[in-house]
Amino acid sequence: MNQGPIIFLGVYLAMALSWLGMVFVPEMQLGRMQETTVPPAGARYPAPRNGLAQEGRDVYRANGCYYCHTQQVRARGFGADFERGWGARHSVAPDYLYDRPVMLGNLRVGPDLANIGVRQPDAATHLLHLYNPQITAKGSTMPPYKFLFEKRKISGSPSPEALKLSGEFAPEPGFEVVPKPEALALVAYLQSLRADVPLFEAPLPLPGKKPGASSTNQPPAGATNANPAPAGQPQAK
Amino acid sequence: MMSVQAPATESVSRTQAAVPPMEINRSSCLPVTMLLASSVGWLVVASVLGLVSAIKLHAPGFPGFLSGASWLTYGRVYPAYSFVLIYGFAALAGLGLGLWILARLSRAAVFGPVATTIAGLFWNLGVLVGTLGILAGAGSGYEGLEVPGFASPILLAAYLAIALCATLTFHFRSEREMYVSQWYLLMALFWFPWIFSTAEMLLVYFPSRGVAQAVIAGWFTHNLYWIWLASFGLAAIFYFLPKLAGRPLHSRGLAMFGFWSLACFGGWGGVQGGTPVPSWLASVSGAAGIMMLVPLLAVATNWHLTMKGTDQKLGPNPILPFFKFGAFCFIVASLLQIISLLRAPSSVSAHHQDLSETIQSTFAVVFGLLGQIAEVARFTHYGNGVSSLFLFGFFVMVAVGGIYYVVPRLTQCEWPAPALMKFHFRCGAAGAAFLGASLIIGGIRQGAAMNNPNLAFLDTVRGTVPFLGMGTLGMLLLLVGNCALAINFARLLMNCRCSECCPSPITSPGGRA
Repeated sequence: MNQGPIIFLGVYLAMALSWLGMVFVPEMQLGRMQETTVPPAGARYPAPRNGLAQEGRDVYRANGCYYCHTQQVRARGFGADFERGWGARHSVAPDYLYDRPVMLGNLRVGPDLANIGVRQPDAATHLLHLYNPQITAKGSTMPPYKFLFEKRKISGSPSPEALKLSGEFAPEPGFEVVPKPEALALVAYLQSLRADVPLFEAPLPLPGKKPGASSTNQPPAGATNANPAPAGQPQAK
Repeated sequence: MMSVQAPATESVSRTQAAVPPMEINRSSCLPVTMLLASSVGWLVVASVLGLVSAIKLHAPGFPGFLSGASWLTYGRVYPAYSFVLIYGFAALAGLGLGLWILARLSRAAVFGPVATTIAGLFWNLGVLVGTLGILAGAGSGYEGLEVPGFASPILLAAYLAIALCATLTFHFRSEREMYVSQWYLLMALFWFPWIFSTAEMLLVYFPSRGVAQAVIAGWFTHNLYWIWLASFGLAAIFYFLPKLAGRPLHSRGLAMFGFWSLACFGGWGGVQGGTPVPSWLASVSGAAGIMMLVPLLAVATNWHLTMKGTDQKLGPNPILPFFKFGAFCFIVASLLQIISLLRAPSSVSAHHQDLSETIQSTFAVVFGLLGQIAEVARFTHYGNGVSSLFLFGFFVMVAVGGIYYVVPRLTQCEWPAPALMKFHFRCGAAGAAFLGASLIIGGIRQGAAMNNPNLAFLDTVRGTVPFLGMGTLGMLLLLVGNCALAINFARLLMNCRCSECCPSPITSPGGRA
């Protein structure tokens, strides 16, 4: 009995079906997505990231930030993403419309970054954190990204861009640490990570409304720091 | 059934015009030895990169003065490790062993041995270019498809050439009856070019819009592990396990059932619950994932019944443990993967209160416990623990066992230090178990802490450090074991000059173990 052709055809069919279901149909459904307008002003959402932030996305990709950080806030009742204040609403497909590549991430060695631009709008803090995470989050296991910075001798007056380092982190006297263009681009990208616009499929929760009582494995709502309008203060990293 | 016994009684001469084993050996010596030798080289490279990335995960200042170097940052070393392990080691070892098994079972000489060798060298070139590219920061941004866009055409072309030669080897077979391993090998050879070219086209060269990329990347990675790598590994287990045990495979029908159910359900995964994509995708891939229990049970039963009662009869065999351990890890890793897809009914209770209550009252204990694993395990080290168990416990073990079996028969040279085989098995088994268990247990602890918003996030990270340290220990053991193989292999190749060994006739192909 010659089974060769049967194996070939069968395997081809199985492969083609999974391709159809998991590549072609999602491509038809998601690949034609357009930007939407959001009330009340009819603004376009999402707005494309600016040029510097797009360069920063390349820095984020090149250094594999997505191996330790996710960019997706799950719906209420699945994990504690809301309670940790990682987003005002859960993440939905339109949030990623202009991203190439989309780096959702699978592991949270560090916190979710889908809304890091909302939680931490300050560029100087981001730069310090990238230069040495121990400055801003003592005990963090995030590696320092010193190669995004340049230590140079101060000639004339100190550069206004230089990091404000003190104590054990400061360079020797007469030297300063300035961010390279990659660091500035990466920070611009991080600042651009904000999915806080209410959408039809993902409205912002009304102020004062308690999360659904049916999500059973959540701690009591009073014990959370869920906040529909996250304050500008940095969260624990 | 005669056909089932084919691998166990290979040396029995047939009346058909079969290619003599000597001829098969002569044609496969050059390409298979080259593929296997280079795969072992990459295995050592992957182990070193894996050790560096494992240390960096809990000690970010490692390695000392180089900790600030861009090419040694975790986000580049880890993808380089993953890429070298899968594309450097697993692909080459799978292709090398696959070619040998195909030629043996088909009783046919390898088609185009020189072309295969050259294509194998090109694959090596692609892996080298890709690794350097990743370390230089050109990684693609997709897990499992880290290879930079400029290296992937080299890989695809080389793969197509090798797969074509392997398929033609199979096509010109003199043994018409097919054995289970051949089905799996054909599936592996055939499946990869499709998923790889699809992913490259739709992710790297002409990227889709938005989250469609995430769906395609997830589909690709799932297929890479659970169809492609699994098929290579299963082909080797189905070939070597009955052969080393000296028994025919228990049931060909069961094997066929397992094969076709894997082909049907194995390709539909990759999207997990909670991902910002249409939720039917997570449902479909979750359902297909749970259906993977079917091939898993079929395959496990078949192995178990084949091996049942052989322990007393078999003498000490240094190679059989590799396959037993690999088969065991495949079952464990698959089960852990399936469990991580289950969601407790409570998570849908907001929409289906009545249904949820019914289910909860009936299956509260089972589903409640299992379902929480999905919610706890997501975004933790659990997933990496399962893939470590799959890669090091299952694939590497099986492939290494195959290398230990095949290379002396190809080159007609014995392993210079047979004791290192046992040493390698112990290091490999302990290392894979340590690495997998510490990441999985650490991941569950991490997830439980992460889902408790009263704990600061930094504390959830600090809590994993002891587990990651144990994982590093496992990685160290793996590196030591793999170095033992590399040393043994290098000494074997130095001792025996190919001009002497390759053309020589095989005296007793089935006599050694």
